[in-house]
Amino acid sequence: MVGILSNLLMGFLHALTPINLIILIIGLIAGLIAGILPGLTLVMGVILLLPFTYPMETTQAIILLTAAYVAGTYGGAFTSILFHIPGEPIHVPLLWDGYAMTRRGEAAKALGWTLFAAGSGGLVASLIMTFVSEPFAKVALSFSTPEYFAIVLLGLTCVVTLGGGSVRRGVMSLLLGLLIATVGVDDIYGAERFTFGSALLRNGIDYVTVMVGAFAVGEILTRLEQGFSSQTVQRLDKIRTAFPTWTEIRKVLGSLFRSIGIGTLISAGPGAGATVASFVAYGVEKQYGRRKEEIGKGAPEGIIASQAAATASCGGALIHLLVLGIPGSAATAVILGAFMLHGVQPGPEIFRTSLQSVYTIFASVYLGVILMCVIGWLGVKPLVKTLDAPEAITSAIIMVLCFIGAFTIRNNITDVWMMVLFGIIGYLMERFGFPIAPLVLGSILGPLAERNFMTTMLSYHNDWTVFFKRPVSGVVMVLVIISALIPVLAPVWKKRKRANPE
Amino acid sequence: MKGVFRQPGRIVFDAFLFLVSVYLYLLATQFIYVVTPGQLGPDFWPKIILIFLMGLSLYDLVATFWEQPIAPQKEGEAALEKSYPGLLIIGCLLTIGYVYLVPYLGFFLTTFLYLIAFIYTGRYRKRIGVIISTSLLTALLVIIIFVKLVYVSLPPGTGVFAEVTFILYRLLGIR
Repeated sequence: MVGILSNLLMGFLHALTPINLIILIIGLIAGLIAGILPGLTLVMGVILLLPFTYPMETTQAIILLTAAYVAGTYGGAFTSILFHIPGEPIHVPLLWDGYAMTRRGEAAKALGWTLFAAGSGGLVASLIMTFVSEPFAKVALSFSTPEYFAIVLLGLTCVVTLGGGSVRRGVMSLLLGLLIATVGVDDIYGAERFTFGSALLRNGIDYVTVMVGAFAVGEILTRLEQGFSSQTVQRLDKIRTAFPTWTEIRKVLGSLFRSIGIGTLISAGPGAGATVASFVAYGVEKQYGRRKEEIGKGAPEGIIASQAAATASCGGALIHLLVLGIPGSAATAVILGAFMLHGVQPGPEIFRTSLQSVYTIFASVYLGVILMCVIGWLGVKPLVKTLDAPEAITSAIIMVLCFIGAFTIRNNITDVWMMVLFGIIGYLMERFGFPIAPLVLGSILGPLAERNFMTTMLSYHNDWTVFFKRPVSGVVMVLVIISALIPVLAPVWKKRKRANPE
Repeated sequence: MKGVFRQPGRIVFDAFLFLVSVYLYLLATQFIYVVTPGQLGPDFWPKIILIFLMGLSLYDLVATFWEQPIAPQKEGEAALEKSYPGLLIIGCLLTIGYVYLVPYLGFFLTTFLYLIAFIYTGRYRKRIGVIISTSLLTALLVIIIFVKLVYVSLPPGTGVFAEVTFILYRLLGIR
């Protein structure tokens, strides 16, 4: 404990240097704007910042991207509450309670509750991240390939079953992503797979091109087909934030801690990020909260549940990334990309090889959450003003930034062609009801899954039961099975409940 | 989405996916590697994926014939009255043209032209001056940030276009 605290103190000293602070603030503002603009998701915001990190030191790069990631979970709340426009999918629940409060003339209070939830969720998640990571890393050192495969499989299953929509098409999307990840030279046998004689394909398809293409370009093409018909923003003159009183806060502490717990637990598993955390926490509050009948009609608990869980989920996802080297979400996958670009491999060894960097990053998350709330409080009006920018202009600029992001991977125009191809694939998938997140996470986690699976098979002479015989991987595999059965059993339970309401 | 024809498109998509899976499976049987008895080989993992993909795409294709068209599921988005497939096609062609022309015309010039065309296609058409100045400023800013500050080597173009790019770089103090 003392060691962790002294490392954290050193981390604060490094994070508080002028250059790191400036980078942190830039990341926060970029993340807030990414969260606010409906055509720009928080993942896209983090992706678009990646090329800017090339000349930075590793720590600075991670500070920038993590700040954007955390701030992106908060920025979209403004437009959800004020204008009924969700900046991010995670802020859809805020439409129900936040906007309802705005219609009652309590917009300032709704913004205040959101700020309180984001700040509390972020700080508690930071504490958990700080004090859990190193002990978890020590446990993770005992993990071997069966455990890693089981954890990755859990992540892939969660992203399909918890992501919503058709599970069948989610699995198909995931399989496509896993297939994309097989292109290139195989790690274990050195065989060329699906390279079609191309030197560039021999190096594989970089997941950044898949991510930028499918998420960013695909989304812009979809919105272009809709004519960039975003809603105009009105009534900007009376926007302010009113922080709740201590008496009001005391009444909602149960909801707050429950939601933070849900956000942290859900994001502790790979593949389920802020969106899942936000909806699950809101659902739990609606089912079991003290004022469940008020949820959806302008209750602060509705705002707190989704926002606190969304911001708290950043902590769990970062634990996964740093300790296991497995990204917990698409946004943390970009952060993983930044680590790899700078030659740093996250994983349990990172606490031995880059201890100072890790605690500087932890410290920057604390500072980031506090500064995010300050910037959100003071800057809500100018930040929301970015909505005035015509969507055609912002989308065109984003396309150019996507081009640069894809080009800078290997300084080769072929990666840009790949990005455009995946953009068109992403658009078609969106149009025909195939979710994109499993495709992207499949392409990111596919190599990890295959490498750990094949190495296990080599080590244990093709005995697949080893995944169930080892205690940790056995438990995780049971969770995989449960998570895979949820979409099958849930409709059956619902039918029974409807048939027997008592 | 209103006005979007999902069922025939989805059937074609599923059929295409199935055929591609079959083709790739056949390719996977021809991977060249040193066979070691008792080991799964580099073709095992892709083959498993492709078998599942073939099965699911066929199942989805058959199921789509029997399903009713599905209502839009995205929450929080207003129901769309119109779609502009023409804009989409133009946008795709512009983007493909942009990527094709960048190595020849250079990044700055192609980006400037692309931005103008894409913004106009995106239905922002009232203020041509704003479009041109925004496009010029963006192209310049991108060059300054990425070439001068971040040291990304963006394509300068070929022939006379490369000369134009290098003159611009000299004016911006980029060496």
